[in-house]
Amino acid sequence: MSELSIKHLLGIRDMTRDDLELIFKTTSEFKEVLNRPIKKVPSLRDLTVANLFFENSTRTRLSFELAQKRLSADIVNFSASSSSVKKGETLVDTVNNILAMKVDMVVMRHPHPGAPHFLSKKVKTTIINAGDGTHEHPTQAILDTFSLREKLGDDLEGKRIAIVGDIRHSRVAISNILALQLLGATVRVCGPATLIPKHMSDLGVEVSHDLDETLIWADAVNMLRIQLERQGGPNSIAFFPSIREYTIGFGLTQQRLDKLDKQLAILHPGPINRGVEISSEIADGEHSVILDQVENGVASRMAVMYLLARQ
Amino acid sequence: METQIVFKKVSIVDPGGSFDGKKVDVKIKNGIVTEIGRNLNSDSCLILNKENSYISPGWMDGQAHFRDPGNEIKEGLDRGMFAAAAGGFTDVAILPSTNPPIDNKASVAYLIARGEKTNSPCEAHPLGCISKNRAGEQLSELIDMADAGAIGFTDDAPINKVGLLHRALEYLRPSGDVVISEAIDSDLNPGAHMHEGVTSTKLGLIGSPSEAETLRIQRDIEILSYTGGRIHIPIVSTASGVNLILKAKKKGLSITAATTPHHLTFIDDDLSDFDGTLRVNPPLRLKSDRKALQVALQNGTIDSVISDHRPENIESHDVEFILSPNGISGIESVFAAVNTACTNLDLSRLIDSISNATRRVYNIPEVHIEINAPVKITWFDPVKEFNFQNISGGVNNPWPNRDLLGAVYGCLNGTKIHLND
Repeated sequence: MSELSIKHLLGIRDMTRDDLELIFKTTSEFKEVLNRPIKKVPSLRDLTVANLFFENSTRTRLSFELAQKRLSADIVNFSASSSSVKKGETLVDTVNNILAMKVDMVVMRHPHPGAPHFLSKKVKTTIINAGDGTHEHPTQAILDTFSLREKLGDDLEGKRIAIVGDIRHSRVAISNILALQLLGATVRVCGPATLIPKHMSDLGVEVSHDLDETLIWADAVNMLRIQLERQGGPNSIAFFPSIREYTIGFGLTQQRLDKLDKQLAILHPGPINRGVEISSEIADGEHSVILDQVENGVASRMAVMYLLARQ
Repeated sequence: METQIVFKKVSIVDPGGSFDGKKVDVKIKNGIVTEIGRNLNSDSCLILNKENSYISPGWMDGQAHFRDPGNEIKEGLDRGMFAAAAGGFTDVAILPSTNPPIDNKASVAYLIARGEKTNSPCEAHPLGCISKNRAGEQLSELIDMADAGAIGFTDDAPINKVGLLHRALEYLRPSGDVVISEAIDSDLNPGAHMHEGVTSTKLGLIGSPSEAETLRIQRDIEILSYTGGRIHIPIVSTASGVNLILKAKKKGLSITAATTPHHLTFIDDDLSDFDGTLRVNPPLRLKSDRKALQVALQNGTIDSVISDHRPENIESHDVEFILSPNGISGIESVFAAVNTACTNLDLSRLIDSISNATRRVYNIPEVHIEINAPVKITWFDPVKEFNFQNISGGVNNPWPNRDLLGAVYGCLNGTKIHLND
């Protein structure tokens, strides 16, 4: 197979296992390119990509931008804070205006779940979802699973992967669950009950509220950030009483790892709240895959854009 | 217009009326039914004749919004009443959540007067706000509004203060006017976009559980047992809500309930593609809930079906899912939508649920097709298939371009007549 089954990358939900395998294969090839003295290939020369970020992002945007530069694409960047969105323009108008300038591909981050799906029905261009609210973040799941394969071996069938933390507000969690399930892994989510959607187990994942037991169970853990910005307004009732109590229950510390008689692969999609969900010594330690994830992010995004551009 | 009208060989669906089940001619002169019988003389009459067609007492919609006054750009009374008549409605209860809200007798009088000025045979029956300025705090002048023609009271929002519900029920108990209480406790998962379940989990959307409905219905039943009076749940969406209402009715409490064509048709899974047209409040629930609603409609636990018509213009509707306002437009498709969705529903129960059952909810006189009675008649065909197209200004209608079963040919109210086509 040399083609993806999808026209846009809106979510892992629309993808097949073959799609993922093709992206992994292509990612490996681009990763090799990134380690050459000359890191640039002409694959997307003549292609113009618009990076539309309607929500703040540092690493995802940089990662996409770097991937585009490595592929020799032309780039326009847009962020909501400096745009006509603040003047009341609709999403479709904003994007159509940009497309009128002959843009071939859109990478979009948006605070509203489903915004890229909505847009994909309105505009004639390839859309890559770089995170839509609390829904999906497909390229993060691709780079996470790619990094896991590097660490645990190419076949994730039967491997036990735990996703720990603020599952309720995480787009990374849903995309990772779907991708890991496509690849045959067993997935468990772990966190305070208030931060796990009530119907999570209906997605075919295990649910736990005990981090120590989960660490014993798992081959790898993906530590999610507490999304402090999504915990509701000042008048709403918080999902947990304090950061302190959260860290006691669900913070990954050296002390916790020392109790295990095995090594764990440790992932974090970033940005890290050091000392909250993960301690510095672990984040910077030998089993941390965090910086591999960042490197693989560029290669996998190159792969996604390259493959979609060929459709 | 001819002063005499004759329906030829129509089947009458009129539960409780003298001619229910008869296939006859019906003659009308100056807004009064003058003759009912076989082979009536139709010389110099306007003849209404479609093979195998039916007539029934004029239909009544229990809850619709025409955005008038305040947001006429989305519909307005003229277009809304036209769409209502096209949907077969000779009467419609109009929601008071306008701008300004209908919370005083002058506003009630405005709606009635404006309704009479439209050419539509549909009559406007305002609902009044329970609270002043819809603020949910102090009672508005309910009796004054009722005297001016308001037929029931709602803030078109959940009554969050128990004290306000208590006062409203007690205050209206002597007059028998109904208090409409939306069964949604939005404090349970604030900001919900849809039903809480596996679909909301997959979509990363905040879900409102069934308990948000049952908590309120339970509360309302407790208060109703204490105060007496009459309460109406405008939209029941869950199987557990249906069960609570059934129990309360068995206890003899004056509680009535309605649901909508969309709750009888769609489920939460239909939102999987982020279709903002199906964003409603209370949300679309599960397949098992939909089934329970259909059964409850047949057995009468759910008294009435309402359009809950909430038209939006393209500018407000064609946006990302979570910016899309709650509500469906569809006053013109109520009969066909319910008739298509509820394949086991008796025709006479369906007709009752969109006509006299709604009048009973609001304590207004029933309408029947009788000799010497003023004319209020809807003309339709329950087995005719057609491809639905919008008539209302609302673009947020999920039915356009779908094949539906059950066409409305028109309706008559007094000397006003609306014929489709």
